[in-house]
Amino acid sequence: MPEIPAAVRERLLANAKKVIVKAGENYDEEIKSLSDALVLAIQAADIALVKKQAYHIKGTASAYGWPIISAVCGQLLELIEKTSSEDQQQIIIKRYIKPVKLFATDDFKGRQDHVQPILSEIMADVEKHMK
Amino acid sequence: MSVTQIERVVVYDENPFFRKLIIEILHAFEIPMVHGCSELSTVTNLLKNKTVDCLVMDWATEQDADLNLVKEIRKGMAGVNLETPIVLCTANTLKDQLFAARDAGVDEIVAKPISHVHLLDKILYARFKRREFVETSEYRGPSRRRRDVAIEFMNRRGDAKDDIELFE
Repeated sequence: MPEIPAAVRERLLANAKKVIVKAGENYDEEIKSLSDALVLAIQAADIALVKKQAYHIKGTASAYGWPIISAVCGQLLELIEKTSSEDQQQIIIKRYIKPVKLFATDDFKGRQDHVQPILSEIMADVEKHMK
Repeated sequence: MSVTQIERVVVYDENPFFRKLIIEILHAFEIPMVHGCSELSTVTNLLKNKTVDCLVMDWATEQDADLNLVKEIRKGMAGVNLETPIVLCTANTLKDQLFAARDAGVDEIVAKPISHVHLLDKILYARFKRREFVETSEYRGPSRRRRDVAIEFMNRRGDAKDDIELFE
């Protein structure tokens, strides 16, 4: 393994950090486009596409100040994963249209309070409609 | 030669935002040649035609094709270095998913959202400090054992002392 002097390593990491911060400045537009794409996928009842779009949000949103929608998409993915019946998967995904739209609005940017109660509330709604 | 001694990296991620982010981070690490790909066929072509120090790739949910590419590389896909270091950047972090990635033959896993510190360390580990490459009938890739753990031997017959004396 090459010996990277500490000062050089610091320089590389500082430069990378700047890249991440700069990317974050553009993420507000990105999250809107990702959430719109997810809602469209849900409305089209396309489970594979729903998974793909939710995956992209889960993987990036929390790093750029959108932890709630990241957690919501994580929960959605986990529920789809645990459910084998496609009919039930369709019921599940429909329950996420409102939360996805809501938590991608500016009001929820940077907020990480109440994540757990929000997830529980969505879960309760899903369970109600699964019965 | 770059400071990291890594000259060429291929990045695969379907998501344009994330792909651009990884490419820019790798440039920030002063890696001179970074190729971004949105399709697996492009990755395969690059691996066949260039000497690649590391493949940094996404594994999106339910995209079996992504892990299949790793398996194909490890099996010895024609024209591709089967020992190509592979770092997986993924938001699939459930235990079973991590095991599946490991069993496909990836070297290192970086969980999304990524940390630039982890990404640098994992790429360096995959390229320069990788685990022994093993080949068995069922698996080919970096050793899946990360730790050297001494296995405690318990003599269940209870006559360990006699055995030791016997072989002295």
